[in-house]
Amino acid sequence: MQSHPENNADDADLWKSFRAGDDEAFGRIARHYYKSLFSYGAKFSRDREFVKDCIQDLFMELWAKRETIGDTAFVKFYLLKSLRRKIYRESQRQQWINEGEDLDFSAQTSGDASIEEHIIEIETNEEMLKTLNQQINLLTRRQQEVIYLRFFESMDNEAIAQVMGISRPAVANLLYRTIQELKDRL
Amino acid sequence: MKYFDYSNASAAYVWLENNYNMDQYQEYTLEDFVLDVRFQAWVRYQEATDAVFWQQYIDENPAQAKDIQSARKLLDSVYRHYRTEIDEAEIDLEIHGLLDRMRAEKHRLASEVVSGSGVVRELAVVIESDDVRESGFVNGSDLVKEEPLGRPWYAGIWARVAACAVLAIGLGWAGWQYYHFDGGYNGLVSGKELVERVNTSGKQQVIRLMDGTQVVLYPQSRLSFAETFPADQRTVYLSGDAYFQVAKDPKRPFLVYTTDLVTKVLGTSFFVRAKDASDKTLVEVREGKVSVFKQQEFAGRKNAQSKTPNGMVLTPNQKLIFEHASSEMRRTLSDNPEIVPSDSPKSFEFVNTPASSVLTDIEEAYQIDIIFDRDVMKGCPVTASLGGQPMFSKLSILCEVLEARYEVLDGKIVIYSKGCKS
Repeated sequence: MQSHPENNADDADLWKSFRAGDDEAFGRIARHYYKSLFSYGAKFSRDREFVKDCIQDLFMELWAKRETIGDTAFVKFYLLKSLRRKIYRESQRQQWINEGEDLDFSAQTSGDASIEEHIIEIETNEEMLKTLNQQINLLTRRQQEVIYLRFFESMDNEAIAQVMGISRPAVANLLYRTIQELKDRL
Repeated sequence: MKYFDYSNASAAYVWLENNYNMDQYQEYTLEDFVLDVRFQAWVRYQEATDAVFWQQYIDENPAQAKDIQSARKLLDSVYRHYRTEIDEAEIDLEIHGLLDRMRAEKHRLASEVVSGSGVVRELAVVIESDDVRESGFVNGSDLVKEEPLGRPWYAGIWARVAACAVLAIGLGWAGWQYYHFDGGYNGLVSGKELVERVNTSGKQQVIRLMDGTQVVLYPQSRLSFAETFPADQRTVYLSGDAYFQVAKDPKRPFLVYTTDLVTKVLGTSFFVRAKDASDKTLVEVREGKVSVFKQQEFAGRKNAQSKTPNGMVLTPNQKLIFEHASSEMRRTLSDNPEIVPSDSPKSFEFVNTPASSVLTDIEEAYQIDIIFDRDVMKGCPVTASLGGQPMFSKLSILCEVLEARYEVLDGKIVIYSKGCKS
């Protein structure tokens, strides 16, 4: 079971210690955000090792640049955005992405339905879940990324807009449209 | 299309424990619930306090019950769809690797400052416990010593795959006298220019090799390897138990030498159990493919790379047992096979599904061969919820339903069935 996200005050303190060269803080930041980063990164590439390498490099760069980076009140947001950029750049370099388009969020559509006990508790209609699952696969990659960031990372539209590099109204619109599409399948 | 900007609403979603007002949800529609952070947390983490809150809310506001249920289903399916499997040990391994890298970097910078272009040894040695020093392995010139930076922060978290005392010594004959081995591993490493790691602690240790391969070395085990791998292969020597996560490098096969066997891999994770004193050696594969050879036969080949392997090939969830007495290799299945990570995981939810499809799903998920009569099994419909069960339980349940039985044979599963009652 995953834990609730921590609040931003802790983030800011940790971030400050890290910037001052505290490797303990650095390790804690890395540990704390690893799962989020990996989950997000894994949506862009099915190669787990590639994603892990990107995350390692991201943290190494972060460590090297610690004295010059600004105070960030939103560490996770900063990291997700950096990781997205990194994976994009690395993928392009490895020419894994066609025609230098934007990242393909659904590269790894896990559709993981290995059911944990708590999920069985919910009185779900299996047929409906299957349809919803298919419906998620039919969403555009931007739609998928929007709901992912909103539902998994609890980010607000402003933050999503920045991470994805689109406008806030575009995020709001995408989000609304996506929820409607999923709702219609219920 | 109607245009909504939810970001205004989201300002109210700041996480304030126990500060929620039930009234704020009165006007909520399905969409509002889906976007509500507290609502999301309930569906996602299933915590008791949230459950109490929402149950109470539904009881008091029955008119919204339907919207709440729908919102819950919608979110639940999204959470299930995007769940990414990475276990804690795997994360710990990464974090440890990261800190190693970071400290090596620090160390490198520091020694550049001190000694200009001085040569930097990749193998830093962390000595944490006094008993390592007492044990007499420490031999000044062979060691690069890095003082621990106070109490390592990860000492607690890290316990499961911890590196407490990692010891590297340049192997000289004198060092070997210390061990008094009787053949096996000792014979393998003698006379070679190798670096050795010995785990004298009670915990597992993680070793990151120069090629990126990570090894979890179990207590009372030792691993030797060349400080730099040659261009054509990566060879390590093991006595004891270790779990390997081998970095992909198709041009340089990774070879693990144990007393009698050679395990050859290209890029995979697997487990080797090879105690010198034990009467058998085990090799178990989690991902990828390895081939295992008897050492004598392997040595007899002129070139380990060019010929096709004639050893025994292991695929995920297979286990090889080598009995030293009989010198025989036997292939079977892991005690608890794990689902091999895949792009399209199975749900293991079956409603009137032909038994043949159920078996194929299991076959694909665990990448284990299942031998059965497709024609017989086609006619048997199965309705069962097998997700979350260990593989052998899945098979037992299935066999019970089908009045069949199964057997593990040579790393495969054989299903015996007379078909089903129509």
